[in-house]
Amino acid sequence: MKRTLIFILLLVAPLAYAQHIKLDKREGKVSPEEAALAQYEPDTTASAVVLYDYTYVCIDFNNVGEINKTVNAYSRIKILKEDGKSYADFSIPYANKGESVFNIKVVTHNLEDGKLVSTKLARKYIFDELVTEGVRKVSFSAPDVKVGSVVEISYTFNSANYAELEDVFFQQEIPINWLEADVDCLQYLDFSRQVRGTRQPVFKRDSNDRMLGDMHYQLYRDSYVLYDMPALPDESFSYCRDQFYAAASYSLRSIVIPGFSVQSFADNWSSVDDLIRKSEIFKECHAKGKVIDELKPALDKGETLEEKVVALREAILEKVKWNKNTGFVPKPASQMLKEGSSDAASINGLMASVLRAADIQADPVLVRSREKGILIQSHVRMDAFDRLILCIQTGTGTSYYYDAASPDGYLNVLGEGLIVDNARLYPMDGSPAWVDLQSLGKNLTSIVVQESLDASALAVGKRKEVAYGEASCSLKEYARSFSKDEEYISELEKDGQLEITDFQYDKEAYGSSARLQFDYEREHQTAQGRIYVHPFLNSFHSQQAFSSPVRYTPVEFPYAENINYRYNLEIPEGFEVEQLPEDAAVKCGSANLYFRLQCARMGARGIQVQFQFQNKDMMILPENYADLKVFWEHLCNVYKSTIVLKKI
Amino acid sequence: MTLLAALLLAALAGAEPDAVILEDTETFRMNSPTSGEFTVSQTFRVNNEEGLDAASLVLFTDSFRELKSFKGEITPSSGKPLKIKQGDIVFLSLNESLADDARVYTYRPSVKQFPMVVHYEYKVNYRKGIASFPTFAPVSGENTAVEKAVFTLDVPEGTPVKYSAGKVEYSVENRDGRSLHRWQVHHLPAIRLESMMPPLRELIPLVYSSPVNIDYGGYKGTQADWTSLGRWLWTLQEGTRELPAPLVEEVQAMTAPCSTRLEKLQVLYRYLRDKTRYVSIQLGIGDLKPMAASEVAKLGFGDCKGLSNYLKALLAAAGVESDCYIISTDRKNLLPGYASVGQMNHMMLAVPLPELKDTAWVECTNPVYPLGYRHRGAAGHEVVLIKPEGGEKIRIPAYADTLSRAIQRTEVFLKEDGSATLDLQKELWLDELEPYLEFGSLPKDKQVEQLTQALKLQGDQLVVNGFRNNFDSYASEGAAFRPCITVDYSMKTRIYANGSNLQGEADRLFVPLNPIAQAVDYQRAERENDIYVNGFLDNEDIIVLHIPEGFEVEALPDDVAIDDAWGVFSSSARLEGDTIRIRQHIRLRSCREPAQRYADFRRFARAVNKAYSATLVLRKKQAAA
Repeated sequence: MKRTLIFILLLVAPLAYAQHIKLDKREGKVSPEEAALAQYEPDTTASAVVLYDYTYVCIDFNNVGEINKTVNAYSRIKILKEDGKSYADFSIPYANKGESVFNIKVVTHNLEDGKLVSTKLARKYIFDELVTEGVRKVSFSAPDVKVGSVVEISYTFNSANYAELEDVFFQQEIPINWLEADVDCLQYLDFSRQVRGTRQPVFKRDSNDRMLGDMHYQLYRDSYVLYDMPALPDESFSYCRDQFYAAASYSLRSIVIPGFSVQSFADNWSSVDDLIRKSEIFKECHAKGKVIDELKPALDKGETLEEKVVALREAILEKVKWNKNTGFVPKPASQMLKEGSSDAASINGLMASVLRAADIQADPVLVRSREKGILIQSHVRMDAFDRLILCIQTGTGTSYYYDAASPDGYLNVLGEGLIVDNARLYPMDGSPAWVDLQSLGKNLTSIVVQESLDASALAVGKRKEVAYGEASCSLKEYARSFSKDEEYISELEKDGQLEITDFQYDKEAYGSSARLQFDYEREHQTAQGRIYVHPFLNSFHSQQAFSSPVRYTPVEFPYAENINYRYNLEIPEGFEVEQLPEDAAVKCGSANLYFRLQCARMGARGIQVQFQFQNKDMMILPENYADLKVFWEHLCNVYKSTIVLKKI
Repeated sequence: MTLLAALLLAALAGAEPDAVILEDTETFRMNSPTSGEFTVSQTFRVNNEEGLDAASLVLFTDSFRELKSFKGEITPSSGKPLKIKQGDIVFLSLNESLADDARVYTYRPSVKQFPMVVHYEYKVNYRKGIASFPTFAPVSGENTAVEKAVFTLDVPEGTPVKYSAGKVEYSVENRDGRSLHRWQVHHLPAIRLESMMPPLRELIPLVYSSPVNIDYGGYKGTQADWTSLGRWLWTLQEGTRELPAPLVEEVQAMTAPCSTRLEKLQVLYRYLRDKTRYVSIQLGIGDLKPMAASEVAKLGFGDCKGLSNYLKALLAAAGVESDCYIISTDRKNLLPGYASVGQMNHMMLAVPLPELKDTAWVECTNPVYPLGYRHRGAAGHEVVLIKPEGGEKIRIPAYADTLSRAIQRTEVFLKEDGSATLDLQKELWLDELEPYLEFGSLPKDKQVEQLTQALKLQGDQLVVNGFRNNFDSYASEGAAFRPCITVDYSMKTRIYANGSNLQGEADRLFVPLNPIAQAVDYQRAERENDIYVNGFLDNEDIIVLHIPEGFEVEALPDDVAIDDAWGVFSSSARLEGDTIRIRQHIRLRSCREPAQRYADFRRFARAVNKAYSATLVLRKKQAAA
């Protein structure tokens, strides 16, 4: 977490030098030189570049004294390659009520015979459509766009929802030559501000005097300027790319308007906690009522707490199926029963209420899922969390974190999206506290293969796999991704060139482990009295995972992984071991990844290959990517190891 | 249908499908040539979670169709019905175009108490024109059986209609000044979806119907046959091909030096590529009527109709005739005896080139396609040329299967530590070149991504050394033209071969025979449907491996040669001095075989995959005694 925090908040000296391409930033003042530009020197692979971008956000009184949020946006984009033309298509969503988009201007500039020719987009090609209930979008495409075009677009967005200020982004998936942004805010609205990204803009704070009728007030201005911001590409092993874009986030802490009562929002976590305690989230986790009483007897089916929780879960899901949604605010139990299905938050809320009715401590835990980005404790925000799970405590103080809805999870097995290091626990009695969900138990995959070989190189074997902790969740989710068992088996066969029989996997089994086993046949390669045996039936990791030469964002692994693999081979009569793979122990230079391979003879006709893999790091920073890449190559190479047997 | 009755039926049915359509009653009542009402009543029994897809509502509307009313009910196994209101259904814009008035209404039951019965009733109003009646497709999901489904087309007596219904039971009745055309399906068993199966439309009941005479968006015509439909489409295009005078002059100046029609086409096709791009706008009759050529000229964008119409106008200004044509890029054959614009999803331009004794079938939405090439969405397809005298149905010539090929040549300079430098070349013909048409203009990282995505090794320092094509050959070869793209590239890899010692000097190197080949996909299970392979595959890999100094061959994989109903496959590895020449060649044939033969196909696929994943073994030379 600490390393992550440092990466995200890294305060490098702000960009003080001028932009690579000099230009007149005023709207309409595109120069022939900009239109003639053939490539962007700092990044010659870029298919387009933002030459200049200006965003002005203003939260102020309108002429009838209501507070409004207005955004004036202007962007000038240079199309450099064919696939850059898609940056000339625009779509702006807005709420059907209380928001509007207007003053849209789109002009394309092209250099033709040395002269700048400008084409404006006609109003009739700006489309405003209803997308779905409550949401509209304005969409349009710049006219006459070619490779080399410079497109200017400007518009105004107005919203009555002044309390939510979207992030001001300083980075995109194409490079930015020059960006400026001003955020004006009424003195009565106190926003906290957090800036992130490895390169940060020059920042200045100022204020302007204003008047509304007889009332004097001030607008505080945050100004940002930056130059030559590189693009941030989309990369694999990343849960939320947006969090790594350089940006400024604002979160409303309070509204203090003279003559009106103070409204506090999230100025510190205590105020967030207070709001949670007063909300339906808390209420539905401590509910009472007929439904709760009817479910209580289910707890009698178990002796241990674990058994009681599982029995109660079954009883709840008998009445209310999980609808595959996560939800956040639990619904009342009566509504859930009526609908017959509900989201995970509601199921967890109902479970907590029943447990509490039986004097078992069960409290809500709010989580910001990994897909939403890392939660920075120093940046308090009302919308910090999006998931609700439970903390169930035994009488001896052991805590179990639990998402009752997930068919693949268990007590202290949450699924990769919820493994964060700062979730927020809300005990009924006691103060809220930060909890770490990343180290709830050991995640281990243990595989044992027993294989025997005949002289024609035909092998028969049995493979048994047991996965514990998050590894079990991962195995179950993968198995569930196939609509039929046959498809899953087919995939396993193809991977290892196997013919599988007696496949045993219970996809309905619920617990902290998952078991999979099968018998198989396979043929090894033979030549001139030798048999070449591959001790690994399949690779545990993909060779393609880190093929990119560079990395811009951290690599995020699903969980801290451990694998123990043991392969036992009985060699045929009349053969001897000519060569075993050499033992190896390899550590990733700058990260906590490690593997070991050991091969040994076991008696006259036995061979054992032991492989251990360990990854203690859930995140690898970009500066350590080169080491990870080299380590990964060696790791994937191990899976191709070969034992050589020779006919005596 | 009560829940009890539904459950009784289930008990009688035996092994259960995921869902059963107990009754599906659909009626389209035509009130006038431009208006009508579509009334639907459907009842599903959902046996498990997989059956929810079949019982989900998916309803499309646009500016010609409006959802007028909806109600529904779910009766779960607990027995107490729950009402579904119109407010419970979600509507979304289709979001496939820049602007589109098409919407989809969806509802997926959230209750999960199985078995349960789901019932919908809704009405859709048709207005401003009817080009086709609703398609009757009662089967909506995998493993879904049908008890009874009926579609009634209720039109004023004497209204000519046409339909394509396969073997669906049909009857017609005249009553009270109305003609009632009725199609019925009873006791249809569930269908299982499998890979390599025949197109679903061959297996499920489908009824397409439409009025012969149409009045759509203010345009009247007939679609009795392709001739009359083509004439109607021509009228939609009237007035859309005028170009501004300066543009006409520009076109004439650009093409003045050209001496042949092909040269003029080449100049204007390049102009189209440089000046326009594809943007889809489907509003009102805009999904059938092209944007005016003058607008396309001004905006620099258009959809397939707009761009085809625009190029036709440019060619006309240069004195070259051409015809827009409508095509389905999904299906090679149109429904026999049934002309309807609804079968088509695309428009292109046909330019006769008598000097080459050929016609160029021009893809205007993506002018990177070489002229003279018939891409895979067009070659062999039945299409309808839109001419002033009416539509003309023809078939675009197909290419022989054997002409579409991919050849990968690789020279591997292997080192004793298992690392290697590779010089590679891809040579791609016809269908195989399509993913690489825009390769030359991609940024380097995307080129690397495209070249390495299927590799079974990690490459470094990939450099593209050359990208060329033979697209200019059309001028000399005419109808015999076969486009080809060649990409030359090189790369290094730290681990090409697995050494017997990971951290030091290896005395053996285990070398993958072919780290580039793609496995043949197959499934494991017993099949129900015929095996249907549509399209030909011909991939050849030629690898020359330089043996590192001090090493010799210990083992080479056996040769493989297979020739059966599925195709031909060969694999060989030969020692030639200090190199090993590896050749693997697969040719899969188009075929249709009964399901019982799938075990054969699986054997074939496994044998091929085994050969692809074979290794050869090099060993350090022993010192002389």
